[in-house]
Amino acid sequence: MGITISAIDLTKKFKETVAVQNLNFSVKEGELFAFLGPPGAGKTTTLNLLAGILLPDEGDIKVGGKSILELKPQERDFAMVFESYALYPHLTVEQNIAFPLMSPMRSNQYSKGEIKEKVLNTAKMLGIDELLTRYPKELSGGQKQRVGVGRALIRDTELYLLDEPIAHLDAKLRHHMRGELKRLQKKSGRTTILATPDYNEVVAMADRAAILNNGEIQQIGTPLDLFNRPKNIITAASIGDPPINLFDFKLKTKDAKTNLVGDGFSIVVNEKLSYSLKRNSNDDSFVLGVRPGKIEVENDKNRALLSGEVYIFEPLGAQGILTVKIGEKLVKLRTDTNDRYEIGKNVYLSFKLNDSTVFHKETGEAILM
Amino acid sequence: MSLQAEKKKRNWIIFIVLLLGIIVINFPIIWIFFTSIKPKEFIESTTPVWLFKPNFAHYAGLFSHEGEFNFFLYFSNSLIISISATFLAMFIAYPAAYSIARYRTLGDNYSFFVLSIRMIPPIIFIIPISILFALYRLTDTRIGIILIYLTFNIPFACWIIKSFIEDIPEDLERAAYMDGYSHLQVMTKIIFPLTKSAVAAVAIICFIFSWNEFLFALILSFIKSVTLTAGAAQFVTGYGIRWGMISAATVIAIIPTIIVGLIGQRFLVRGLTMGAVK
Amino acid sequence: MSSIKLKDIWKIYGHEVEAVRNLQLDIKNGEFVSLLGPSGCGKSSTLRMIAGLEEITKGNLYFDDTRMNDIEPGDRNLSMVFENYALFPHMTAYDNIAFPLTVRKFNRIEIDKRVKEISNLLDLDDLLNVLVVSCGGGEKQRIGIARAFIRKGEALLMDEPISHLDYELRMRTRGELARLQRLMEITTIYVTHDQAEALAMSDRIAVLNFGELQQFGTPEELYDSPENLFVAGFIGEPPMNFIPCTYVRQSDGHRFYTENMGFDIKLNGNKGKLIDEKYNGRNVVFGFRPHEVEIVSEANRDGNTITKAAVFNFEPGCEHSYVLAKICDIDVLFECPQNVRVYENKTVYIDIISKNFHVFDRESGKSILTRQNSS
Repeated sequence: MGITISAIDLTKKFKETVAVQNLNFSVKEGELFAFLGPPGAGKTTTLNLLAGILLPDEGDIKVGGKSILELKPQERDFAMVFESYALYPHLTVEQNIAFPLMSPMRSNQYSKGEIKEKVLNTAKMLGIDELLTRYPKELSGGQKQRVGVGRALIRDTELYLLDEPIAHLDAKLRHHMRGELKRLQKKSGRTTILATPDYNEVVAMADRAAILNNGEIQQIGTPLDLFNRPKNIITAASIGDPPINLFDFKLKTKDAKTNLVGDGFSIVVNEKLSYSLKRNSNDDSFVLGVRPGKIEVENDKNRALLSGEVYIFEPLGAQGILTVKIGEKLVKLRTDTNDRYEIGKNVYLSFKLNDSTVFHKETGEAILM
Repeated sequence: MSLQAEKKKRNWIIFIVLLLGIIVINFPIIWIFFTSIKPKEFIESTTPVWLFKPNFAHYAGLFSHEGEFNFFLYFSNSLIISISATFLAMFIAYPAAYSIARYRTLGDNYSFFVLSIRMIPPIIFIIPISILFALYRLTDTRIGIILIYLTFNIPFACWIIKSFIEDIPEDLERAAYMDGYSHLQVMTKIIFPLTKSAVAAVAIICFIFSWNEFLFALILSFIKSVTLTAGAAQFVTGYGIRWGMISAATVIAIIPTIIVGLIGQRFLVRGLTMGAVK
Repeated sequence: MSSIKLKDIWKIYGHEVEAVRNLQLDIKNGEFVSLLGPSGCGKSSTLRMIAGLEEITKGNLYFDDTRMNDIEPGDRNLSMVFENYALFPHMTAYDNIAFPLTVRKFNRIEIDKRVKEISNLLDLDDLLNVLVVSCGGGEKQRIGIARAFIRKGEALLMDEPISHLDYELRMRTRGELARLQRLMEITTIYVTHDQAEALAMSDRIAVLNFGELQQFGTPEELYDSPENLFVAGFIGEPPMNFIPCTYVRQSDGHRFYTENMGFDIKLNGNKGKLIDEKYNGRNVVFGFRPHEVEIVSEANRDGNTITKAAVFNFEPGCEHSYVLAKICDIDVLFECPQNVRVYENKTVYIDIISKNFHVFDRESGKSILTRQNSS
């Protein structure tokens, strides 16, 4: 049904730079687990460590409780889909997909006829059975990606490692492949680990995910947990498009009223909130996080929490993204495309404080309210 | 002038310049060919003679052992030595190139290392090598000459092949490891097929170099291992240079390399430029 | 700055490959026009013909009223930006931005004035004396943009200048480019395959496919009133759903149904648009956008605008989720609110609440809607 795999204090350095540090995670049987992070975060390094292509400087990798560090990639028997597809250019699609089954390690497992049949079935499942005689250079990006997946799927293996498998496809195809891959994974029930910089993939496909940034895991949880209850600023900023708006502010008391004061804004807060903030931190520097979907243009300036100048409005069909300059900061929110926004015009914004998250400025950690 | 007319004019100028270049470069060879079919009297005249009745007396002389020129021995020596020096070099250089490319054996400055060796004029080594050869009884043996040629061919082949291997994305090997293949299998089944053009190009160059090599072949062989190139040198005698014979010998020596070059030019262009375009 | 007119423009490669066919474009002074389409549609060829880097096979190019076909690229007074901004790393930001002007020997006072003006708009004032090699990625982008905009030539041509950037940087640069163009009012022609980019930045968009102009209009016009199936399917993310069916005009509305009756809805009212009468009883393609549906409970399944759909994939999202389903074997995608969970291999009932549906002739692909107060 799939294996459990876990990493304990995994660390890998390349000369002076630390690629990943103290990674601790545990992937359950049959789970689709994702690593979400920007380029350079350490996603490929993590997958390569799990695959055995790289050896860690510190830490351990265990499958079903037993360490597998001593095993070479060939012995670990995992299947991997590479970001670059890594198709063998001198072999046809059919030969590419059959390649794992023809390896000397498995030379006696399958007869030639069985291999041919398996290749055909796998190709049919991925919709590439018409391409079996073609060479990789004759294929489109989407076709190459499916061949890469086919080459991994054809093996009866316990763990799949997918490194940005759909990164280079156009938007339509990506939507489609997200569904396909998810369906295939659920059907096979095999443990799968996915690395991607696209949070949409994580939300659409993963059972659980880890936010990876600068080689460190920020938070692990279900995608919705990560979105709704981020434990720190980095996690909050990793999911959502446009990303969460972050405002630095300090708590200031004036005339018995407490305000969140920052560059270009001052928001009155009630006693309960200010008490709860003061209680949870030593200094008075915080960061307020509000998602673009939760901010609205406010016509009544008395009810507005923020005001600023229109920086640019980008209509995108049904909705648009309005960027407003508040102080030195650019704030983004979603609006209807029916309204017109002139650059430089003054505009008022409001949001519910309940829809926002407050973080410590120094540690970046979220303060539970 | 419109863009199109400008292009046409430019193309004609380029064509003429190239044509002149070809004529200048090939002139010595054309002259040698004419010399080889010129009757003896006309060769040595002070003013160049352009019109004459060609005959193949000089060629006939070569084949009839004139002046101890043993065509068949020299030709078979050249052939055996060149082919061996080429194939042995490929067998040794290829795995070495793979190792240097992927595992950085010999450090990061391999290219500089190879290039600097080739900057040294080979003649510097003649005396020490001759002494070494005498010590190990390698003088006048085919094996000896092959060994010397290997010292040139291997680093060169290694250097070119290494840069082609470096152009192959490492992900391909990683995928093969994941698919269950060992290092050696990866080298033979994945890397080698992808560098076939480069290997062909390098082999052609090594063959042509080995076939054309003159200095070491001349000094280190006397009777048994004399090659075509060294053999032709015997027509430089104390009584003067026998231009007709030497030209004929040269023409014969050139023919195989021209054939190899023509057949292989497809590979040469493809092989040497393959790494440039991804 | 001038207006740019393309009349009857053709680009044919080698007597056979028709990259651009009979293109008519009328670009106004100061306008931001995108040339949008999939790869191979002719957009880059068109841009290069405007620039003079490619010969115009047939037709005429005018800047205002001057015919430009035979004028050398260098003499057309255009600025062009390619994918690679190509900044000089060991020169300061100031020198990089000023470069197009210093190379053309503008006077120093004028250069200083323009550099300061642009760097102010792009928030680069603090970086003017910093060497480019010490600048971050985002800053380098802005410096590159400043350099592109500083020379106010006849027009600014850009060929997919941000497609190679990572997502975040692309989003930010997109906004900066749009803003700068609006403030400086430079005629800009922008080539892209990304419809979101075109929608976000353009005054008008020219959609091209296989060398032919599909539609030339504002982002709103293209989104709300696509003139054919190609434009309708290309503009808008996620893309429009298409259902081939038969149309019948009834007294109480427009009826669309498929042969096997798996899809049978009646809609009335379509945002002031009429369906051409002669299509009554004919085969058409019905189009609706993914967010224009609502999931209803089984109890409410009998309604004129409600249809059955068999779910085969549910894609959860942060703000809303996506459902991939089949209506009569035709793949459709629709949005549903974040908190609604739809299960695979189950049937759902969706209410097509679109007030702006689209109908196309099944054979030609052209839209058969006309404006109510028709022109």
